[in-house]
Formats: sequence, C-alpha cells, structure tokens
Amino acid sequence: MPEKYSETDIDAVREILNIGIGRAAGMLNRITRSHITLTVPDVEIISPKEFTERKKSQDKESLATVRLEFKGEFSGTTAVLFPPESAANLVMAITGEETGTPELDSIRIETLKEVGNIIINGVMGSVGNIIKSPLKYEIPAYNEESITNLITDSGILEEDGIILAMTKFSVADLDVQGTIVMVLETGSMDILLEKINSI
Amino acid sequence: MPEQEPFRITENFPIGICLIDQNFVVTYRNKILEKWSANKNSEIIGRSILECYPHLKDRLYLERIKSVLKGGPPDIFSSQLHEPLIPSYLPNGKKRTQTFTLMPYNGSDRTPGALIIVEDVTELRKEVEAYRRMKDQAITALNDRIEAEKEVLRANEEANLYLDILLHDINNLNSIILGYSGLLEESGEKLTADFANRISLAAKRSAGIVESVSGIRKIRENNSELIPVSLDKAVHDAIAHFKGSSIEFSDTGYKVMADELLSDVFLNIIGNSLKYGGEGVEIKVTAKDSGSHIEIRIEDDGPGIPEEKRDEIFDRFSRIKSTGPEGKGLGLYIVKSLIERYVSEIQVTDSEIGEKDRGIAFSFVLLKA
Repeated sequence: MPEKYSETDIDAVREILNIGIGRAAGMLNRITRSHITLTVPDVEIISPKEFTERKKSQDKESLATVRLEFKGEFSGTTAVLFPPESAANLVMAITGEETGTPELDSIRIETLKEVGNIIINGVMGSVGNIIKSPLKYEIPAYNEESITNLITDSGILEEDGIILAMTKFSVADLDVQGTIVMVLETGSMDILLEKINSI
Repeated sequence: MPEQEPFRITENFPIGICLIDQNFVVTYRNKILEKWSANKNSEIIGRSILECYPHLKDRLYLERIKSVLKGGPPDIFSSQLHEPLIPSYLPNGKKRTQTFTLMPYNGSDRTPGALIIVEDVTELRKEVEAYRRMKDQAITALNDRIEAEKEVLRANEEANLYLDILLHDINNLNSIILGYSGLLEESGEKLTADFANRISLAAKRSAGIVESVSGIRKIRENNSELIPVSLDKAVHDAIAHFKGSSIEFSDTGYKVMADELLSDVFLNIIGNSLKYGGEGVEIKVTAKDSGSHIEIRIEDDGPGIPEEKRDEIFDRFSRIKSTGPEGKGLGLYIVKSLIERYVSEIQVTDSEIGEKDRGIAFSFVLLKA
C-alpha cells in the first residue's frame, strides 16, 4: 500500500464497495429470482509499481473481464474479472442451465457482460453518491485479459492507487471468486478520499 | 429534449438506435429498428416508451432506465435474462434475440436522455446453440467410446484369466499324459508301445500349441520400446532347443534393436525347417552388416515350399498340408508378428544350400543397435 493511504482510508473504500456490491446483489436477485449473495472479503489499495512487483509473476492468466471507463472529476476504469470457467459456471447457475460444458461462448459472454456491468454499476453508483459530480461513461466492454494488462492499458502513473477487491459470489451450491479492480487516474484517489472525509 | 439531428447518421446502421428523453418520450428511432419492431416510427416517436411497451414499467426495467436517464453508468439488458426492451420480430413472426445497451446522453442543450443501442444476436444465438448441440453430441460419443473401451479392456482381462487357467491346466495334463505314455512305451509290448508312442506325439503337439498361444499372447501384451539385444545370444538360445540337429551359425558380435522375444523368431523358423525337413536337414543362419541394418538369413536344404504357397505360410493356422507333418500353423504367424514388431518384414526365397529346387530361405533385416 502506498504510504499515503491509511487503514482508515482502506476501511472507507471497503465500506463504499460493500454498499455498491450489496446493491448489485439485490438487483441480480430480482432479475434472476434466485438467491445470490455477494461479498467483498478483501480490499487493498496498491500502487501500479507495487502491483507489478507483487503480481506479475502469477498474473499470466487471461480473465473474463467486463470493464467500464469513466471520465470527469473522478476518472479511471472499473472492471470485474473472473477465470473463464468460473464465469461460465456463474452464468450457467444464474440462468439455470443444467447441462452442458462450462465454456464461455457468445451467449454466456452476453449474459456475463450484464452481470459484470450490474456489479460495476453498483460500485459506481456508490462512488457517484460520494463524488456528486457527473461522470462521462464509455460503452461497457468485454475482453479476455490479465489484471496486469488491464492496468498497463489504463496508462496510469506510478504514484496513483489501484483499488483491488476480491468478490465472492454464491449462487445455489456454487461459489465463484472474482476480482473488482478500480484503476484511477492521477489525483482521483485523493478526490475520493477527500470527499469521503468531508461527509 | 435531446437533439435527434446528429443521430440521422445512424439511419442505415445495422444496429438499432433509439433515443429517449428524460420523460421517457421516444425522440428518434433509426430505420433498422423500425424494420425489426412491429411498429412504424410514426406510431412510436413522440410517445412515452413506457406506454408503447408497458412491460418496461416493471421495476426490473424502470429503475435501471431511470438510473441511466439521471446520468448514471450505462446498463446492459442481455437476452438470456430479460424479455426484450423493444420487442422485434423475424419475418416468420418469431421474436428476435437482442441485447440492449442503455447509454446516458446529453444533447447540446444539456438536457439528459438515454440512447438505446439494439444489437441483434438471433443468428449468433442459433449458431452457438448449434455448436453447443454438436459439442454435446461429440462429448456423448467420446464418453460412449471411453465406456466401450473400458468394456473391451474388462472383457480382455476376463479372456486372459480363462486363457491362463486353460494353459496352466492343459500343460499339467500334458505332463501327466507324457509321463504315463512314456512308461507304457517301455512296457515291452509292441502294440501297447506303438499306441503309447502315438499318445506321446499327440500330447507333445498339444504342448506345442500351448507354447505357441503363450508366445502370441506375449507379443500382443508386449508394448515396450525396442532395446539393444545380442543377436548371437538370441540365435544360441534357439539352437539350444534342437540338440543333435545340424545348425550352422558363427558368432557375429552384432547388437540389434529388438526385445527378449527375438530368439522365438529363430526357434520357430528352425523348428519349422526340422519339422518339414526331418532330422537330417541342414540349417544355416547368417548375418551381414549393411550399414544401418543387419541382414539375417535362415535357410535349409529341406523339401522347400512351392512358390505359390509362400504367401500363405504366415497366415494364422496355415500349414503346408501336402508336405507331411501336421502342426497348428502358429509358428510362422508368430515369426511374422515379431518381425513386424521390429519394424521390418520377412521374405521367403529359394535356399542357396539346397540342391536344385530343395530348401527354403527366410530373410529379414533388423535395425543395428
């Protein structure tokens, strides 16, 4: 964690994410009429440099990624990433598909895009309530890429923070673990923390 | 109201475009969307999308549409989880499968609205479903095959068990028969000794069959890699079975790529020569280095094999009926199987040591170790 972020900062970010994720879970439950629980067991804020040193060696895997870029007073990319087979299993559980192999084909990707986008929207809605200034969004996109790729792609500077949060889905008997990554442009993390502190 | 003019460019886009203002009023729809949906643009534009498509008043849709209209993040409505926001139909009347993306949009007058992007995935869905069916069929076929192979394996194991029991028990009985017939042969009574001799011969043939069947089984079961083997040892091991016979062989020092069954090749060919040529037959085994291979030749001066019969002698249960002794015809079948295992083939030609038309020669090459 970059030194400038304290435990209190992380707790505040975790709280915002939890609220957003809770909202997303409620929406998914209503859409699918199944009981989906979503939790955020782990949150950390790290610098891209630290991330590269710590994760690069173990971050080769291509993950099923739904990402949303936003610009404004608060700019960056929020993404949800799943291992492809877990993503296929998650979609199959949500849509109630009972047979077939867990392969992430175009139909399942389309559904995963909606599910990922609901989670992202939950988080962004929660952040938006704090930021209180309009943001401009790009069209949500689906890719298969590693977290390192996602971070490199965003081209952010070394001193900025990356919010990494683990998410855990439970649908029926299935437990799927995914990652929420929020890569913020220079100054955005400071703005978020400033607004949180001013509440 | 968001301006619709900039959207005229999307008029002929292959994706559906619909614009609604903050009051849910449809302000623009492009041509493809008009074509897909059951309504003319003139029936829809200027009316609330909630009136046109009342299912959108359901909380599931309404909350999310409102959020986008307020400038919130874009939203996606996928075909697997929802009824279409804007129902569209194929020429045959069936519903199209479509994905809807809602993007917040502000016109130049800053009034909020939402852009609805409609992607038609009907054909894609059909293709994916066909692919899934094909894949599931392939997986089922593969599983069936795995099951069938397991069944074959199980049946083989069972057959092997029966074969083990049979071979073991027949061998035991053969030994008993040979023991008693040997005693009877020494009884001193000519007729009894004659009958006993015939019994002994039959028992020896029976033992020969058991040995051949065991040999074939060993070849079938032995899937190990070829290893360097001493040619001299293999030939000597075979010759040791025929003490008193005239077999010429000079040590070569060659090593060839084969396995522990190599001596069975010589054992069967020499045994065949002795069976058909009688005790006085002369046999010669030679080997020649030809660079990467060793050329091996086993020939005799026996009665020979007519040319038209030479192709058949390696078939299972084939034997040269007109030339005397009976056998089960498994010996040369074993030879051929082994030579094939050593990645080679066996040739049958005239012998160089037999007089005139007499004699036969078996030759093959083995990879040098």
